[in-house]
Amino acid sequence: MLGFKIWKVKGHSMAPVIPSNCFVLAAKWLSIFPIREGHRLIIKHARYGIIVKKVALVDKNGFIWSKGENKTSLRVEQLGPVNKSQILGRVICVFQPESI
Amino acid sequence: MIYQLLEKLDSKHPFDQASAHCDIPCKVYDPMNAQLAVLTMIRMVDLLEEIRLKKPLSFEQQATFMRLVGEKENQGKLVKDEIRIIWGDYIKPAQIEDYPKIHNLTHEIMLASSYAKQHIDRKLTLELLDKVNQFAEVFWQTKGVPVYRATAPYPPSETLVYPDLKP
Repeated sequence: MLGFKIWKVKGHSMAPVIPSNCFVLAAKWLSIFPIREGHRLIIKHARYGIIVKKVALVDKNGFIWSKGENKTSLRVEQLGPVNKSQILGRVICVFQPESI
Repeated sequence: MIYQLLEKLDSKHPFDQASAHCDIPCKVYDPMNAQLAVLTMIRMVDLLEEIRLKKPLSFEQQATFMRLVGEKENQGKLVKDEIRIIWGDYIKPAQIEDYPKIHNLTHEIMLASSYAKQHIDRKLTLELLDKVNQFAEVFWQTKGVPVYRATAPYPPSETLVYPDLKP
């Protein structure tokens, strides 16, 4: 709606910033702006489906390399590069239970 | 409060999910999926051999033939996927040092699986089973789990390597 979308996150690789079962608000239109290291993105990944990851680097060809927030995540090289058209949104806000 | 609201909404109209892939829950590796896939291939070959004897094939038999061939193909791909995942994600340098033949064995399984897909030949599927059983043996050895061989109690009644997990 209006370029914003809420996603439910499953998995632990983005903890503690985005713990499992949290909701995130993401905006697709934000990807018209340059994507920078540290941005958290919803990515349509060829192998892993729809994933949420943090940008590790954007290479000179414009490909985006991503990683998780902790050591348990799949590694940058396992995830491989994605291009901008695979970005479904940039995370703006995380909603998590107060007890976490 | 917003979270609780979203949770209620999610229970009624689930939001799309995004996975935060993680190696912790993915540490569930077991070569049994690959072993069962090979058994299925052997079973498909046996059923295809039965069809080979029926000439000419009725319309339904032709449909069955297609299904069996398709399933053999799918299971062959599954064997490759399962073995590749264990080899790529589970096997680490320390295990490669202890079991240096693992690379060759994995490559042989890839080739054997292709041959078994390309032909309707029981011998080729049995060769594939032998290699996948060897892989299972190495896998369980890396975990320090003893193995034994037994005949699976269902068709095609072939021998599998099983982990002996009794305490």
